Amino acid sequence: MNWLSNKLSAGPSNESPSWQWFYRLGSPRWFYLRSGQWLPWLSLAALLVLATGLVWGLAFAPEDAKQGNSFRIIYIHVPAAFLAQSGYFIMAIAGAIGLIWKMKISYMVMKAAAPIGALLTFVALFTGAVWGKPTWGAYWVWDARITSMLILLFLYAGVMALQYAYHSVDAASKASAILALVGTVNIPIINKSVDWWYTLHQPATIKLTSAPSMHMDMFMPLLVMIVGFYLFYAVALILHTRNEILRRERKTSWVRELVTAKAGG
Amino acid sequence: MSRPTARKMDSGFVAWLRRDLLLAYRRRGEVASPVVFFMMVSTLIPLGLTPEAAQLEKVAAGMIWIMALLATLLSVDGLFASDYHDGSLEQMLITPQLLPLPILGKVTAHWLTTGLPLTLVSPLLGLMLSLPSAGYLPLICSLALGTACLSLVGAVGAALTVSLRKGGLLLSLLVMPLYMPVIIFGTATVNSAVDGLNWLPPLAILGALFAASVALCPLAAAGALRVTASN
Amino acid sequence: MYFDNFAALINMDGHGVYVWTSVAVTLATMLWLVIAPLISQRGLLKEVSRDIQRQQNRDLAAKKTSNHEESN
Repeated sequence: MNWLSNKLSAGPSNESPSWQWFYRLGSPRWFYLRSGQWLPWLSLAALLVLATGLVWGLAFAPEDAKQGNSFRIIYIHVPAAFLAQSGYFIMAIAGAIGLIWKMKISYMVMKAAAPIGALLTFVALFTGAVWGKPTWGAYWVWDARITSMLILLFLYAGVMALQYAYHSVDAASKASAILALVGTVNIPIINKSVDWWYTLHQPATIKLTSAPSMHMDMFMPLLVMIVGFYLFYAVALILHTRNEILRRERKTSWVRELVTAKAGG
Repeated sequence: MSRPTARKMDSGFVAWLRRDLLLAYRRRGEVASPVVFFMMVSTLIPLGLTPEAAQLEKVAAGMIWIMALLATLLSVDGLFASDYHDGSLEQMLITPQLLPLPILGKVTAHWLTTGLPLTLVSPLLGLMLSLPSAGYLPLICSLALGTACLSLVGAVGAALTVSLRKGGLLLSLLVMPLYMPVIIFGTATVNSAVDGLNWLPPLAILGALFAASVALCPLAAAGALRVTASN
Repeated sequence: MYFDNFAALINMDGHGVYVWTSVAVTLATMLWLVIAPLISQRGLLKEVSRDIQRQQNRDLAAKKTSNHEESN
């Protein structure tokens, strides 16, 4: 595991006075070394919480009266959808911080957040479609929530495409930060209008996730899973950000010193 | 507000509006192409779907709206492109005027040369697609408001992609998800009227979307141009 | 456990296919999200150490030639 060895090498050597002036909040180097220390604990926590929630939800929670056991997909569908949505806001906030305070690290977080969010959106769509088959009898139904998810996927795709379209890192970061902010303003509008459109066109069928009627025994594992997905998201975001840091800073002396220290020790 | 600043702000809007309209007038052929595109695709619909009036009238509103969206998307690509290439965009960026105002002027010119013509020919398309008679006034009203929204949001996308080669396809990728509320309420306006319902509420929402776009899109486009045009 | 036995847990009254496919795809995606950055991080670190090696070799060669000239 790379982060473990980084953690070991980051221990005593980063206390040396010649590196002191690098210590500034939000510097990529600081983030890289510090996150290397957080990662093992965060990963362990994510693993434990996810395993608990998954076993609880799949094997111990009671089945839904109307949907039977297919309802157990809720334990991955809802957390994935939740994180997909929050992930866009996290990405946009990181972009905004980059635009306002010109922090290098926040652009890297923004770039890292895009593929993670897009894949979680895909997971939400996939599990929603699979869930739709036993519930509605079709894999794809133009349900309000699922349609909003699809649009969210397109929004993520736009940010990623813009990110890759520019050769200049600076232009790519700033342009996609602006796009992410525009998307953030639009997401509530899109969701509301899709909701409205759905009620106009289709009578209310079984809602996949009818939260108010949910029993406590069903709700607790869901809560655990949401927490687990948040932890997992943090792990994935840190990993992708570290990667981006290495990619952009590989010519700097601190990365070289890090690698030399690791090779030596 | 003192008079000189008011005049300065004014001139940014009016000057660019006048300039773009003049340019459009000189290139009349180019300006006509979105409208021709709009008409041509509407010929494809009966060919691809069905010529039966009973079925066409059900999809007429949605089809006209989707075609209007595509026609806007095709033309909004060039909103800043020629200015970028001949250097006048850079001049716009360094003038002391508030940048959103010249952009608003350019967008207004774009709407006057695409959105407005599309709105004006839409009754003809409604006729060809056998739109019920109750739908014409809502169609015109919603298209007039909606295409303005499309131009404004499209300007942000155009600003984000102005310095890229083959920015057109990327532009549609960026902007299309943002167009969905406009499409929903635009078609809802027409369909409510056809179904005999009150069509003013969805039109009012479209108006709200327009107001929000007027306020925010020029700002976003200005920010985007500052980033992209200098690269 | 809610189910009587392991087979019932797998089958889930016929809904097992849907539930377990969803779980499998989700877990695979999550695993990929963790493994992909680790793989590319490894590549990047290797690239950096290659760069360092190359520079060291160059420095060494430069020193050698300068030493050689001094002795002459």
